Amino acid sequence: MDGEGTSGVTVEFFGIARQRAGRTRIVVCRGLESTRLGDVLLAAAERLPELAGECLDGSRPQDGYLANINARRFTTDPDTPIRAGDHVLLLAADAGG
Amino acid sequence: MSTVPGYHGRYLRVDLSERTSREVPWPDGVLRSFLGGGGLGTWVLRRETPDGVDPLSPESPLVFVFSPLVGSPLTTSAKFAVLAKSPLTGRINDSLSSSHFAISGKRTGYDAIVIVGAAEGATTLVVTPDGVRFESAETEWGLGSRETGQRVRDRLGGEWGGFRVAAIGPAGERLVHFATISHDARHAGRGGLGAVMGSKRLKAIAVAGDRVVSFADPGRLVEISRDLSKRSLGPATAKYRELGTVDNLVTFNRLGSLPTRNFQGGVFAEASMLSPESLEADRDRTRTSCAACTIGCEHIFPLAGSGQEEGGGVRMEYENLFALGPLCGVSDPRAVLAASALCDELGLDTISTGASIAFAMECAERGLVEIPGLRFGNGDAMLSMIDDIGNRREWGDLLAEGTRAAAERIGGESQSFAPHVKGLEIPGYEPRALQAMALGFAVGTRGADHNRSGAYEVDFSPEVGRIDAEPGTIEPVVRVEDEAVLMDSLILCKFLRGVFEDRVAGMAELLRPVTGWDVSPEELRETAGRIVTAKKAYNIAQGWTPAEDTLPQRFFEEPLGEGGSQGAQLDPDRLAAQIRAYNLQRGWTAEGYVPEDRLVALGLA
Repeated sequence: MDGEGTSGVTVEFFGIARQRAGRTRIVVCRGLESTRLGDVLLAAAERLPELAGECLDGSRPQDGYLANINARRFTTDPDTPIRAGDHVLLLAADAGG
Repeated sequence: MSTVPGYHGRYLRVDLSERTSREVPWPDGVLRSFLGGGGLGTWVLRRETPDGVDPLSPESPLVFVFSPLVGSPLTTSAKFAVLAKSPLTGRINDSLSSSHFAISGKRTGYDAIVIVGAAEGATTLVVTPDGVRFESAETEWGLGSRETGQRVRDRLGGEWGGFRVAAIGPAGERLVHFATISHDARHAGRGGLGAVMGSKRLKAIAVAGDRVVSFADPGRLVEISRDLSKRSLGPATAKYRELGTVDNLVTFNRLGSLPTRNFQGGVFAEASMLSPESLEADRDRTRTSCAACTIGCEHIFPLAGSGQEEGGGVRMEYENLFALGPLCGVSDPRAVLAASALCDELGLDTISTGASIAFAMECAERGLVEIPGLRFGNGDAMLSMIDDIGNRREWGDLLAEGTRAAAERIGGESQSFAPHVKGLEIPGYEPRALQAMALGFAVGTRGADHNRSGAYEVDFSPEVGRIDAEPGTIEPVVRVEDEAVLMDSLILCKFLRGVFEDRVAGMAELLRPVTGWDVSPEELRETAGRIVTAKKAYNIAQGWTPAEDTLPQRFFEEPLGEGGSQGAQLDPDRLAAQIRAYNLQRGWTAEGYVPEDRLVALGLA
């Protein structure tokens, strides 16, 4: 687990979150084998204060935003377990085309 | 005649064959039961459409419907609906659009304009409070909708403060089954209503007037309009304002839900070339909005060297980007922008156009047809085929009938991968990766459609798993469909969805000061169920069978191969069970027929 445990959690940004972050992704929570979504989002907001308020509400996605774990499961629950090596996508909930 | 505030209390029925028109009052209760837009249009279509009518025959009615909110200060309310039996599907079709045509159309003094019959020669229908005129459109026949609109406006001059014009392009004249009706550079796009208009030799409809409706509580209406406008500028719509719907492309690609190469995959390796950032890299994007809209989601891109600069460039949204890009394997932004502009000029629905060409590309690559150069990724061949479809030349003549008809002619295994439901080509939501949306596609009365169902909202939520949709999928799918049908009947832009804490309660709050009805959320939910059921009853009368409520075989047999939805495929038994559950939730039989007592209970018998 050591290799994965040090790889951290990758947070990927899409849409407005990407605009506000000014980048496509960051890696947080390095050195942890497991954590929870809320801590990942708090770490992301600490690195990128531009996300706070509009895209993030503390340890949760702001209303109208979602987190997605490894491009599969959507959640807003800050207690969602996250493992080292996971990717957390932050995106708008409205996908109207 | 007593008139409900927000309405004129009547519709205009025009017979092009007889060159006559007459006013028809709404029967008691119809307006409150069907509201406007798609709902009220469904009531009219049920009344006016003979069972089994050929959609392109003179007897087939074409209905333009406004709504009680048109003319109010409510943001995004300048919308109208066009309805007819679709030549593409043979089922009910309502296409909505936004523009000054809605405002001017309602100022004629009618809540709807119903057109039957067919003119002897190319005709422009002119509607004002003074009555109806039938003018020759021989000099506009063959022109694009934009030029047609300009010529008609110039000819009619400033009477009534100027006219607004909805027109068809060459594709509508040639009865392409997915031709659009266009106005102010916007389109009533899906289902081929432009062909219905063309079959009546009706090139354009010009509307103008000064008839305004009263509102029940103007002070309260202004108050809530200000509040709604303010909320429409908040974070819930930031994506649409700042990036436009084109932003979906990159997100969908990451999730493996971006339809690619005729739905052979959900990931497009070259998606980044079509990202908003790439599209803007060497182009000056501009932004505009529909009439009476504060959001401004329209992002316009110039086409260098194509002459499109003078026409204001081309509006790019997710659907034309996906359909003329990844779906056809095309990653060159210049080709995608040019293709979109060409569709606009000819009057073609970009989704069905892209899907038809993508289908032909796969047929060609499999050796089922011999079409020189038409292969995935060949932007020039795509552009050439668009022109052939719009003008019904060679293979374009067959593709102009849509993918269902083309597959029936081409044969072989092509029917298994013709990307349609009920004949309507599937929009840019990969159904294996978004399985609540798959259910929405299957049961949709219009066919594969993301605007009437909106079930992708369920997929983009923690409510259910998007790839393994559980039994709990049914209730939210019905709920978002109900919300969509209410928005389509009031009519409001769906990009406002996020500004309402409770959408149905929010819509009830908007409707009260307009009409004076003490309408509750519960009543609106029942209204939504009534309208959806009325659409279903229309389809049943036109020959619907339960076998239509499914998706192409590809989605059950070919799992997605890579990306965020790797391995996803539809389970036929699970989808069939979901469809039965959906039907029962609607108060229909498990097969999807509407029992007589349900029709009676909803006032639809």
